[in-house]
Amino acid sequence: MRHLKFIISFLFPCLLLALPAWSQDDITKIMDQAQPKTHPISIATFKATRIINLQTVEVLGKRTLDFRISHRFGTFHSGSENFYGLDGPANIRLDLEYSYNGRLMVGLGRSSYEKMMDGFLKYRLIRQTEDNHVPLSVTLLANMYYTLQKDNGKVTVGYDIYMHQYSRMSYEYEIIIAKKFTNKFSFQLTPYLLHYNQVQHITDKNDIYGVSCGLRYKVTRSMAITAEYAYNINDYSNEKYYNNLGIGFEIETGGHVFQMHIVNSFGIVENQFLAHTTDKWSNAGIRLGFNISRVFTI
Amino acid sequence: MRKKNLNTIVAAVSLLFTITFISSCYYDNQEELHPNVNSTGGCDSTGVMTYTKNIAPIMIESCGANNPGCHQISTSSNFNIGLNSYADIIAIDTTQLMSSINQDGKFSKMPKGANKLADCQIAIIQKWINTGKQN
Repeated sequence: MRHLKFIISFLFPCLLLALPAWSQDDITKIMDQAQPKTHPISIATFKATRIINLQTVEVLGKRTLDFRISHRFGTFHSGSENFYGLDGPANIRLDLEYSYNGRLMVGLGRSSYEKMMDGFLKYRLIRQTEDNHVPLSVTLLANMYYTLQKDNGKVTVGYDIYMHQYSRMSYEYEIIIAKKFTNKFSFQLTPYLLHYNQVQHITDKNDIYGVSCGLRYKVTRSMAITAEYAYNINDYSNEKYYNNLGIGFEIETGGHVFQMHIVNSFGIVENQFLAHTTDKWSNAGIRLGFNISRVFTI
Repeated sequence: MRKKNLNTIVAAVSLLFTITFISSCYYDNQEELHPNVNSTGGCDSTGVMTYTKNIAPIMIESCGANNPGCHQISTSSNFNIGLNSYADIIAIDTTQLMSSINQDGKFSKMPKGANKLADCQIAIIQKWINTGKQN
């Protein structure tokens, strides 16, 4: 079983990462043949590369650089003394994302929570067409994470849990399948696999797999309502964790996309919010958050 | 020509990523790697517990002075809870402290953004509280 998981863990990234090498010629040709000019490509299934926390099917346009600032405040249930979470503690993520050809995109980011560095490769495999000749869009995503935090317990416990550098690393892979149903409504479904090189307990699972979904409903020309939910299929820990659930709205103004939301997870990157969300909606363990995106064509 | 160069670069980067991914996948857990995690081991919870000898190293390392933005001073934004000195720590509600570090869900789980304290460290703090919080 472990070998099977190992194979799955690497078959997908290998496939994903090998694709760009020949995709420039072959896939583009195939896609061009499959989608002659009479089948216009459906654009703007989602307005940004994130719904709230989840990555959308979208990839940046050609030679586009995106600078993103994401912020999550403290929980509502911390009370009026803490201004319902706005006093903190807060999690901040800064990242830069770039696409040269409008299909392959790279990103680098840093979150303050768990001092997490992350990098990803995202490849737009199939694009939906307006006449439904190609009914869906599909994007592949491979994420890699590296925590820079130190083990504060080593002074008293006598060893460092990050003794091996690889213990700091985790990975996540997604196949993002999306459909723009109407000009106003888009939906996406994403099976994912999450791998931690090191977990805490012997009963914890290093591999976590699940499925997430997200939607966007356009209210006006520049405003939309968004929602997302992620469900972990396997039982991966004896600790009590909750599934990520968020609702929000987004405003687009020129090169900016401003997203504001209420979500139960503190983490912004997948290895934190998918599997390690410790707060729940039912006791107001939710928090305010925002993402700001600014794109530059360079 | 330019496109060919780009393809070569993309292929090289992809290969590098693939190698990194494959060479660095492990199935470890802390209990097996460090068998002392749930026993006394390097962490001794026997004898008399005092703030200076037993509690300060845990609190300063995991909650106070060595953690920028955390419980360094009692006037910080973190609910006015300081965990950096004896005076601060004897003034706080120990029920809340134990609930937070045991991560039972009644209060915010601590340490925030780091691993839960080892069982032995929690046992030391509990024992110190039970025996009158000696300095």
